[in-house]
Amino acid sequence: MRLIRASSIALGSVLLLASCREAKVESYRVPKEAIPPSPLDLASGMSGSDMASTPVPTASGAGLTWTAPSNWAAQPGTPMRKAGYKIAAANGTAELTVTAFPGDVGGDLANVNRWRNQLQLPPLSAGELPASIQTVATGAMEFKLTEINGGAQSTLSAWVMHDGSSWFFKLTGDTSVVAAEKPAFLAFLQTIKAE
Amino acid sequence: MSEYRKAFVDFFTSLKLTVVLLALSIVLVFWATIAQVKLGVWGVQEQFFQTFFVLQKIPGTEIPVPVFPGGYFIGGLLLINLIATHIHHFKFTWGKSGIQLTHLGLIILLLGELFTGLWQEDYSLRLDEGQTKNYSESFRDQELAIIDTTSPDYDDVVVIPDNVLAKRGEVQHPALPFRVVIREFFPNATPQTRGQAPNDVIPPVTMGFGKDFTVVPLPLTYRQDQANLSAAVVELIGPQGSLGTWLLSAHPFVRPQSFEYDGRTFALSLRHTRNYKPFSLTLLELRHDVYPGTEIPKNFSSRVRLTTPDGHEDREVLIYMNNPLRYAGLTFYQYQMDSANGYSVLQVVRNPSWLLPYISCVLMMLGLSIQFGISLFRFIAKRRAAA
Repeated sequence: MRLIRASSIALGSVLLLASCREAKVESYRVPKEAIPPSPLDLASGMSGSDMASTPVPTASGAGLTWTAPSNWAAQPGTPMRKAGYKIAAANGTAELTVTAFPGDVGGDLANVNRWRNQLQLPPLSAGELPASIQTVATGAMEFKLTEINGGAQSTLSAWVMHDGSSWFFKLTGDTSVVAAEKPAFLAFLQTIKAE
Repeated sequence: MSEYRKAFVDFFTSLKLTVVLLALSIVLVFWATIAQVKLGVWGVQEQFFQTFFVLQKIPGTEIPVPVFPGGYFIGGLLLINLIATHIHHFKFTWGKSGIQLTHLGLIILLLGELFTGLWQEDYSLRLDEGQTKNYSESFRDQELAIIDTTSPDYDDVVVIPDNVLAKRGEVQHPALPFRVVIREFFPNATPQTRGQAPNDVIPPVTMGFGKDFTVVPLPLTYRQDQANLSAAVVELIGPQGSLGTWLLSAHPFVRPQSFEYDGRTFALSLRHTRNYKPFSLTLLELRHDVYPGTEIPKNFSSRVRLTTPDGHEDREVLIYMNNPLRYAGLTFYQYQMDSANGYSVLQVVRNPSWLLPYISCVLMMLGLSIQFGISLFRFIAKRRAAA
């Protein structure tokens, strides 16, 4: 009997202690704290004019390294971008953004259609998708590449899955600049490797 | 003693049970070590050790089923087995005092592990150079803070922890002039521009950040280098009806969202759970020294000022590796540092049972020494007698 009682008390105490850990709604008063700026102010300052091209925060974990051509001007980092480059030419400008985030972000069709939407182009159907994507194999990895011509503006985008995250290398800008920079972009892809 | 009671006592005092439990614990530790590659330390502790059963989902479904006894189950039974055996068979003799002392040490070790699991608090305190803070933040737990910022001198805060948010439903608190209805909660989600998300699962939001942004739910991560950042959709309902619906995210770029109601100003913030202290720390200087001519770290240190509102404490402390600040039952360790961006992160730990493993080791060492000593003296005495 003594044993049963001791065992029950031991088990009961464990359950009671465990229940003490449950956090509850509570209230308290603290000395005044400054509220940081509003999210929309921050968001608009976060990625310049092209918030839509950097839709999610960066993934953490093992990263990638690369070497950018010398005529691409590195932009200051932002919380949502791994890197950014500005390309200024006589006939216009373009911008390359490097973003990474966990998972596949809805898959290739959703991503391609998101970029098409940014160029005011109608979405592709699942059947039309394969024709719009090429594969670029570098020594280290295999990228998917799509080229979207929206008239005055174009996008050249390459992406790869690395360590559970999708990495996007997206060149967007005036069509003539994007076309002129395509060889440099493909050479740039060759330099990308795991950290 | 009835048959049933005898069977019950025999079961709990059986050596076979001890052996089976030890074998199970070996399997559990091995399995957890392998699983740590994917789950990380936190995940393994939660899913293998601080649980009664290891749960796995039935393939293709979200239904969890117990597949193996967890740490609490095995440890708890071992503890009961050990205590029960002692109560049942206990008879103090000098000859067995060493063994009994060793077992007492083992009981204290098991209890210490249990108390640590239940009571240990582990928080982080991130300070930018020159910044003063009187709170630390949980590494993983998050909370919805509804802050009444009307007064120029203080803020009145109501916090709803994430385990309550996860149940959705309604929260009514006497300090709030409205009800909080949790429409949606995601334990891990990432903000995204509204309209760009592949599948927008967020209910319509009428106020603040959520008018332009949405969130994409992500699977929970257990990796140590990644954080789960929760998101929630909440509607506030006053006596005259809805005040609006807000999207909240614990992502660092989403700041508190303010609104006016009934002549008062409120802010909504989903943030890491805060633990306020009756004292403040100010980061005066951080140092990241490297060995000359190399990038190899030599020293990370944070010079902080510790102050209390009543002026009893006002002193400078240097925190560096193996030299934490111990104050008010808390230990502040140097945890992370980014000298380029000028901030330092301290790990803030409270573990009321931190002494138990030391006491247990001393008892076990004493017990084993006594036991070996007794055997040795018996052996010597026998040899002398034979000679």
